[in-house]
Amino acid sequence: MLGDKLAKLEKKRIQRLSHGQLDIRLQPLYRHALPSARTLLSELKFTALDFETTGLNFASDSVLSFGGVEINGLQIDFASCFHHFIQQPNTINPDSVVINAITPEHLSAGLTPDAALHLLIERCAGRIIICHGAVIERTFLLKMLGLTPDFALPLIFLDTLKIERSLLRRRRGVEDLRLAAIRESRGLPAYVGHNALADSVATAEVFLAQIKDVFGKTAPCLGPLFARSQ
Amino acid sequence: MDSSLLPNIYDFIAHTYPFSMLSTLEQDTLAASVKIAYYAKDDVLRDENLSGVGLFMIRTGCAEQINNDGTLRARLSVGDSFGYTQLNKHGRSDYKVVFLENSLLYIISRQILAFIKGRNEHVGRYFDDHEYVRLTSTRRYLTDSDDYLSGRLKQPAGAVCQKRIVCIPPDCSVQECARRLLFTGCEMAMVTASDNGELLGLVTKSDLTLRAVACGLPYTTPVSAVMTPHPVVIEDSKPLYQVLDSMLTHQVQHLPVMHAHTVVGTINTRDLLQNSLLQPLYLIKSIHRQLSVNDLTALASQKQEIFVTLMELKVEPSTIQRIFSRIADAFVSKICALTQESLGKPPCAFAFFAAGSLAREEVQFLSDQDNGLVFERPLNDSELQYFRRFTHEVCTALDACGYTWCSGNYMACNEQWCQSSRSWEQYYDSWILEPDAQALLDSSVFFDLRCEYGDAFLVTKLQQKIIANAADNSRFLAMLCRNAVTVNPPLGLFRQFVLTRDGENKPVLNIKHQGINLIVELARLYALHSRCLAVSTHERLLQGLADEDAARELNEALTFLNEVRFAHQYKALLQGDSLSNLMPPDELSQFERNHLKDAFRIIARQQNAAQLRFGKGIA
Repeated sequence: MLGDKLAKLEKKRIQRLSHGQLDIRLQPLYRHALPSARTLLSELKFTALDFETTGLNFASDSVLSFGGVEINGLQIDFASCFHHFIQQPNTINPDSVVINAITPEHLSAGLTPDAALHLLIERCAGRIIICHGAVIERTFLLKMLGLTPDFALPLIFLDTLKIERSLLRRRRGVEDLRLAAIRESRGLPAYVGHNALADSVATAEVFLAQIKDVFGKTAPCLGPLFARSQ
Repeated sequence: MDSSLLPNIYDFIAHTYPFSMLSTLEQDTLAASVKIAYYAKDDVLRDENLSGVGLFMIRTGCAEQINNDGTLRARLSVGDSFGYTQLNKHGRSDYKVVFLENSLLYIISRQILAFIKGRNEHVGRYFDDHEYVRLTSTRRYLTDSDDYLSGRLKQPAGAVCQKRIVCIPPDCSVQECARRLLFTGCEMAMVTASDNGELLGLVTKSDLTLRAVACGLPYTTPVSAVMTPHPVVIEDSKPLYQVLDSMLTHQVQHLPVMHAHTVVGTINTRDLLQNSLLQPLYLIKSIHRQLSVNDLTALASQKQEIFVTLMELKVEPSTIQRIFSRIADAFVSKICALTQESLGKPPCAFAFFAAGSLAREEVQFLSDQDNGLVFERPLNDSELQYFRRFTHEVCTALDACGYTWCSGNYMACNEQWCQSSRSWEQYYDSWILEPDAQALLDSSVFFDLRCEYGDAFLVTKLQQKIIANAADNSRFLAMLCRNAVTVNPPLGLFRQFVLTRDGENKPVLNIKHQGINLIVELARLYALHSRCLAVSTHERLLQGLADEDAARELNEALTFLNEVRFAHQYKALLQGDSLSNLMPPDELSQFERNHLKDAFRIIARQQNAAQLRFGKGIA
């Protein structure tokens, strides 16, 4: 059934491609065929992605910075790290500044929203996206593209938060699904930095650990992780 | 990438040796190229996933390296790394890595490692393919130390003295004199004749305080009223050793240094301390001057200061051992001489000889006494009484001087080890010609001999006996070899434990029994086999081992083990703790742990080689 969902997404991609009339900014995303549920993870390319935003109101808030790192051959490739600030049309919400330690100076030196979107699309095209609480990144990405939250982008998001919850249910553990708490309970080193890049790397490490829990000794493939991410 | 965004990885790299030796820029380059992998408990890494990949650093978790024959190679935890010996391999690896816990690894690729190795010599040596080169990278002290030592002692005063001097005429006021000292930072002023520059006297800071200020003299008083006239001086060509001699004889702390009749500088005790190793020499000189055993025991406490100084001067361990052996020689021969003086003429020629570490010139701060006495001919009971008393008094005095009673009772005061030349020869015959493992173990200390006092020929005869017989007796060599390989070095240190080859964890490392002694025994074996006359372990390895690489790597291992041992004893001394050869692993740095592993691996490999070479002699 879940394989169906991935197949459906791929079908939609092909349909939209054949219809033409595709927003030029979206085209890179449509160029790559989506993998099936049985595709081995070792053959896939991933990007762990994190956004820092002014808040969680999709209508009124915006993305301040984004960071990410690639996972290829199931190894986090540090050389592929990226991190950028985005220029803001309005002054930013002072509360979020406190949390993220992002100053107006950082932002004014950042990318224009268009350039940021272009770069993001480039980084995501042909890759599986890994986020902790993927709804934020997915929804804000759609917002940046001027699309509605229910738009079916040809992008597969895996969500370490949901995967962790699915594992915890099995273990009947206490649910603290914040990234830092998960890392602590897994014995991963605490991350000092609180920024989009550090969080994306932290998420990527958690993801590698989760693969071991989900698949044990069997060869890991996409389907089960996708299912747990819904 | 801005390193502040990801402090974790940058921090870890910056604090892990040898990458801690890199510049910030190089560290950043390295960190930016790291790949991160995660392995679960029981996962295995081997062959193409390990060979030629790069350096794997454990960030969290732990793992075991298992050799292809199934034996444990090492157990690794946070901060440890593996994979660099497999860098140039393809396909099958020499070992596999089995993860004992879920582990996060940082991987530095072969290419990046090669790049950094080329840029930084510390990293280059650390990741050399050979353990002994990696051990060389630990060198912190000056090399060629005997030359260094004697060079220092022979350095002329003129080369060490401070060239900045204040010269004032005798009618200069004390205030002006004080002002000149203030501005130049000198400790004293030279009062020189205005016409020919002849040195008339000295004015030190304390002269100004005690002779001028304390006596209420006016500031306008000429310095000639407070100076020390006709000061003791030293020629600039005189060696440092005479500077100290002169200072001690005349009870002064500063000396003007002269060239012809002109002052060219000043030298003080501080310059001597910073620039020389005079302490041991002075101790030895004063040992020879003492008139009683009581006076000698008072000198023994100086050994500690000397040890501290030598460590602070970063003198090589083998030199420290030689200096301590010279000091011990001085004590032994002086004690023997004093004892003979008080007991009168001996009934026949004899020799008091050192065995064990003193014979090998490898005495260290903790060494106890191992010795024996050989007399020329069989003696009757009353004649024997002389040597019984002699050895008892000598060994007691040695104990009082800090060379404590030997726990194995290998001392001349034990009747068994105070024998005629003929009896000693019989001992060696039975040890060598009819070897018995236990008897050999008990007597190994007597295969290192050096005459300390008396008729050296008696000791030479015994050494010749050993050399003549041991080399051809394969059964003897096989037994000696078996004894030398009974104790295995640990595999390494794992968290707070010492990991032994059978996988057992021990709480402390005995660096002497589990390391140093094993090399000493191998060296003795090879020396006996090749009829080599050298006594020191370093020399024995170089002369006795045909395989130069083996000799070299064992020497490096020995030096490193001694370095670790002395560093810990030094620390204990400064903290007022008691000294020992026992080391709880948590007192060892990551740096020491990594290199100890290399040293242990060298020993294990050479034990195997010795076993192949000599083991077959046992029927």
